[in-house]
Amino acid sequence: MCLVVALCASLPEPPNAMGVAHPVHATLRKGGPEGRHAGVLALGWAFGVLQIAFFVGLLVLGTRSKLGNRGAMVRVLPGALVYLATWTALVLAYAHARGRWLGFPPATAIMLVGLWPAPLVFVALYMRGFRSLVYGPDEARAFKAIMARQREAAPARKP
Amino acid sequence: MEPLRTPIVLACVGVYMLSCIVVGAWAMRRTHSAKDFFVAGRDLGVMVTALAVFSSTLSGFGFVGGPGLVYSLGMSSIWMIIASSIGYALSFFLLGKRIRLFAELRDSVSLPDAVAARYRSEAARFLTALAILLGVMGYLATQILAMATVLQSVLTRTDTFSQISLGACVTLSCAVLVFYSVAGGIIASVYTDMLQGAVMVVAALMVLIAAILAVDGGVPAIVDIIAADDREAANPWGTLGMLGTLSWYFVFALGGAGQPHVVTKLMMNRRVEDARHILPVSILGYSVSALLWISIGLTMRALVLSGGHPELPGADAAAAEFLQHYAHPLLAGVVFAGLFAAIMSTADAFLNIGAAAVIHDIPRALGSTAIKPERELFWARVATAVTAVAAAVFAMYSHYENQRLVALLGAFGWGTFAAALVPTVAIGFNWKRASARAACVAIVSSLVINLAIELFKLRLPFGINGGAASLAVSLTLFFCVSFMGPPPPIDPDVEAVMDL
Repeated sequence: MCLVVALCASLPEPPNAMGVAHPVHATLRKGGPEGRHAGVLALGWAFGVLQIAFFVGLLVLGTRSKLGNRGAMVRVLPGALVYLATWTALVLAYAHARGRWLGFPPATAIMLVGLWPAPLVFVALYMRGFRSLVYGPDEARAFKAIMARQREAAPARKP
Repeated sequence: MEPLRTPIVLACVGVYMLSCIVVGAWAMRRTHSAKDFFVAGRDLGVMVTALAVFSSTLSGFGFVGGPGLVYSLGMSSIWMIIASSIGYALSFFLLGKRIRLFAELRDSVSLPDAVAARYRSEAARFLTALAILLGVMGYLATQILAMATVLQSVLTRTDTFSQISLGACVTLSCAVLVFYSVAGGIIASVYTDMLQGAVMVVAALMVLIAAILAVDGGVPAIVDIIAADDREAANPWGTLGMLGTLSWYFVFALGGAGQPHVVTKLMMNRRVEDARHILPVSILGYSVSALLWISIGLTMRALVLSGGHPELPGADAAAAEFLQHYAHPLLAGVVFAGLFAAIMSTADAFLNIGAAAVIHDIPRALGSTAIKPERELFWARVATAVTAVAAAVFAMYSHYENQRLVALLGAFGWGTFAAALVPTVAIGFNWKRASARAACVAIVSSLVINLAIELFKLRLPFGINGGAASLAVSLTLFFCVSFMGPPPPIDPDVEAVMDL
């Protein structure tokens, strides 16, 4: 990701890369012609993919103690694919689709009703699979045992 | 009902403030120790924790700055909101279980306590507490200033208080905040958060309907007006552009797991298993409340562009102008109460972790045992009051003498916490290879980089957010430093919990 950011720094910035002042309304900004993203669309897509990969990696990190790397990855994979597909669809819609979906430009509609809720797959996994994925009766028993050993150890440890 | 607009708004705000005082007085009777004061005795139910988590996340920025950003930049800032779904998921996957277990294992009352236990390092504890304290002063001063400004805008519409000063409004609003925070500590904070969260959700739903009705043709007409003026403003990246908005997504998605005032709440639930129910409720509450942010911003942009509303004095006036002109007086009253709720729910959480840093974490990191455990509750209350007064004085000084000060420390907000604490806490609590030295390097780099960006007004290409860059750098340093050294020693009990 640092590499992507460094690559961005090396690219020439179009004058409206971050928008321009609105010619009529001082408190508004304008994006200007869509061509401003022509040179960075692929880089932006890659930036998004790397973010998703990193997030998914962290989700695996949070669950691997119980399932191991492979087991955690298998459980998280379907959600990751949904997330990645939604992101790719958003970028493609921005580049190619015109008209309106649900009253919005297609890419914006995908952002609002696709990308926003896409990670809810992970939330559902966390809720439904909590005992097998995160913390089940075995872990609760093991934690009780750790606490019991802790109490027996003298003197009591302070935080 | 229009002539009664101001009295109705005042009544709603008054009822809300009174409710906070009542909750504070009730919570005082349940607060018997420093553990109660800082982590609510680790005895909170699902709904209380869930509403506290989301209402602490959504500060006054969401109700004032957020709509202003959508108004000014189009869709760009909506990426901060849509990041919440993956952001909460990350926080709970990484910390929902782990931090709660650490807290019980070592009887931790603060995040730096847990950091010290994980890394066996007082330096890591000290730096975590320092980052929290610096961030708290900036954040708190900003929240106090915002609260006083809103109160002044409401009171100056009355004949009696038409000349009320900002200082008087700071005193008034802080008095309520300090009362319930000092009296009831985190118990008052989370129960007022519950009230505040409920008010925010109701306000957001009502505003959404009012905003759609404010423009003939509803959402499609609003989007048509915005797109006709500038197609990019209605496209997903808004006016800021793709890379800038994606950097916001990165820092807001990942940064949630590094916000100390939010993460600390995950230490307070009664049972570890409660996390599975807290997560969806928090996401739902936040997402619904954030509809206010989106709907007001887009509606006001469309109204100004179509000539239906005069140019705003500033982008941050979007919410106030909407409430003044397009909201029923009762709705305006609820939303103003919601606005105070948003500000105070964040401010009280910061006051609590700031006080913990002052009387508990920093002295322990420096090896001081001056405060006996049985006197910690008393000193916690003193520290809460002193922190609030210091932040209020700082806010006023900055407002009148040097407006950059609050902005400077305000920059030690989301991005700094994210860069400092995501590696140290969210990753380090799950990864045994992470070393104390790596944690210290990540925290120091986040403080230095964010301060440098703000101090020297550095601008990154394509609008890439400074906090995102700082987070990427601190993560890289954290991994590199951890891999460069030998595997760090971990206390057996902590290691056993990390294996669960």
